[in-house]
Amino acid sequence: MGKNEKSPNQISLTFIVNGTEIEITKVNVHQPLKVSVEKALAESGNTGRPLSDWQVKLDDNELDISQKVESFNFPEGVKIFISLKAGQGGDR
Amino acid sequence: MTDNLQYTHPDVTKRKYDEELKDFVKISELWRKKGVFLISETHPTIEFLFALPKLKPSAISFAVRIDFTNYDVEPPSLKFICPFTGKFLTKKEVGMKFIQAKVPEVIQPGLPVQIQQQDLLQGSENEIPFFCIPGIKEYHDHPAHTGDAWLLYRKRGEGRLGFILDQLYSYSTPTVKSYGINYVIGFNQQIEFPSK
Repeated sequence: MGKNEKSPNQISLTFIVNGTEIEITKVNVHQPLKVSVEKALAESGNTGRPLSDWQVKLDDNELDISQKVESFNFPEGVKIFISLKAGQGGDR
Repeated sequence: MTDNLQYTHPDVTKRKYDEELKDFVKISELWRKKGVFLISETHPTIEFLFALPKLKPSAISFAVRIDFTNYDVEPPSLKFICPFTGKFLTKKEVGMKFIQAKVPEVIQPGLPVQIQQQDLLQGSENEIPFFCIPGIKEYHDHPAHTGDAWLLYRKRGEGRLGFILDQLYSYSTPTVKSYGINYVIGFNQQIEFPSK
């Protein structure tokens, strides 16, 4: 297998990080979704804040990113939103 | 059009504005499916309309004007507008609630968890309201938030166009499940009935 070829256990996922589209290739479906989310955040320059500050959503439903990628059965071309949780309004 | 005074270099603001707009356009089909439409774009402002696509017939929920004057030395300003006239709306006129559930940071075992609900649209009913989250100019300008400066958030994600649209959407559209409609048929012309 060539360096750039994907194995059957690898897929590509597209994330929308705070409104910016990022594609993560060679996602191992046996790994938790969290791994890809962390890569998407790093590649979009959103580092320096805890993962718990972000919400990962598909069709307005929050995903449990500790689950393996394969468990979600993502359809081809899926776009997953990674959004910042808003600060608590009126707290300060 | 904007009423805000531009004091940073306009080329810098324009470049950052264009980047935000470009990111939106790239995924505008996704936003469209969520009922979010760009209705007007004239630097430094962009207007968006939020519809409720899951309702039949679909309805306009609200519209906003986001002003990028001095961005990102300052965060964008956000005002709710009438989608038909562009006029700024009072809280009462907006008519929409943006409910945020607040879960206590410390949960005592054995005691019931009290979840508070707060409308993120703050202000008196007859005043122009502000969207009360960090990353919005009106939030940071508010006297109650002087300890929570914009510069603590700049470059961290808050204030980006995608962030603002996402927050407006998440706290409104998905929470609306149904509505009721009464049709009232009216006539503009007087109907003359034949006399007996």
